Amino acid sequence: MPVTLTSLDNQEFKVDKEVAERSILIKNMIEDVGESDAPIPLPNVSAAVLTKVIEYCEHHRNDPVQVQDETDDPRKRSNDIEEWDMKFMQVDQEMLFEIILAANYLDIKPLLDVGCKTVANIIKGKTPEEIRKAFNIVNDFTPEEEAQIKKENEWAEDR
Amino acid sequence: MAMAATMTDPLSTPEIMLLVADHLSLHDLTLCARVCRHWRDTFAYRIWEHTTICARSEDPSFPSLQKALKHAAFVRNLTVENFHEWKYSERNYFWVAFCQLSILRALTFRGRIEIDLPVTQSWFESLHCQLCYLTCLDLDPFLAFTCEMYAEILTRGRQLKILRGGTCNAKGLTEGKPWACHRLVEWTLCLDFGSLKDYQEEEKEEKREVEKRTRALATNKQALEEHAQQKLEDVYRRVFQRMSALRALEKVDLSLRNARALRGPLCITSGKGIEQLLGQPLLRSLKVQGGALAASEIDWFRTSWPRITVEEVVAPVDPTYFFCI
Repeated sequence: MPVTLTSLDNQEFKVDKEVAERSILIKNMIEDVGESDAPIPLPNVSAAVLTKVIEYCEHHRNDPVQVQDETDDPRKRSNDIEEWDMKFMQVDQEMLFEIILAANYLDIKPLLDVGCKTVANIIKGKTPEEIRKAFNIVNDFTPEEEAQIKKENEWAEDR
Repeated sequence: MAMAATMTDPLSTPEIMLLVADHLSLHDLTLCARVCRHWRDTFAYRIWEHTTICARSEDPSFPSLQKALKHAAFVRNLTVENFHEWKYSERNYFWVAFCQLSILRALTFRGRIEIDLPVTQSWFESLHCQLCYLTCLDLDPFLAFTCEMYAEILTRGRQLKILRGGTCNAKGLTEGKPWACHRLVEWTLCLDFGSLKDYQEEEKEEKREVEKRTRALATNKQALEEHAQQKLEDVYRRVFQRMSALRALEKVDLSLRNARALRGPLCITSGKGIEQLLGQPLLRSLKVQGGALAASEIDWFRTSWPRITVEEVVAPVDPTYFFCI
């Protein structure tokens, strides 16, 4: 049965229920409301971003649900991104950030993970100054403060 | 103010940045912490979340004790290496400052732990809180601290889920208040056969009759060792009996040090303790490692607990017997 989603700019999208329910937010809404033809409003997601999110959910409609171990050390998890996901994430930075925010809002953990891995890959190997440039961040440290942080964390710098 | 702090920017959302941090090495995290104030505060948590401190302070790959405690509010998982190599003043500082580790869930000690009891009071008090995983394998079984520590852990550690502890003598383990760590799911306990040889010294203070027996035993090395072995079997029985109250237990692993000093095979299955323990619905696995069990013990498990499969694993030094439900 198809489900209708309405974006921030009032555009309607008809998708399979199975695809829409990759989002835990939408799944819970459907469960709460019951069977209904009424469109589901998503006031935090624009049509352009929702199009991308639906594309992702269509591709991953049959993926098994992820189970996270409480004691799992996140730094030991794989950082690999599947080839399809890698191509999917080849968008400008603004769209990348929008997808991450939408994945967070819609509660689609695998998409959020891929988005965060993509940001992490941008950060990797860069100096603080290069990171600032990449994300257009202003350095609000005094030189003394930055030196102090470097000193406090120097034990971890070769790891 | 950093440009990143806008409503539509995930880089200004701490919970998203923590997910990004999950995919970065410690080295990259330290560089991120130097980007801006907002990032410093977010990434400090991931940098210090899993912290290992080491007494060999000349090793630059470990943070100093002072630095780690300065970031105590971020430390969830702390490993302490070579605790006994610290200076007395540093050890005192650690115990006193321990209560600052307000979100600590897992604590591991590697190396012996020795310290005056009054100093550790703040640590014992913090056991009331959220500590779920505790590993302290190299305790000195002859120290009063070991007894006290076990008593405190078992009566205060209400949130403990996994306890890996040793070495311990009998008195600290089986006497005192009822155990309150009812959430305990997994318990690895290393008993020390050597420490049991001194067990009669404690009894001497308690009963005059035992004192006479102890003196008699002290003149005969063989009798002394047999006495220690009986005491060990008694310890196992008492441990099993008290473990029966811990209804969440799924996995129990009892190891024995200095097992080669044993004069004969162990007999741990007589008495009610073991039956009560094995009757627990959640218990999946009981492992007795290091001590050579008598063949009759294995048979007892096979006949009394048909659901239990007995698997013998030949270890480099001593045989290990596995009992799995």
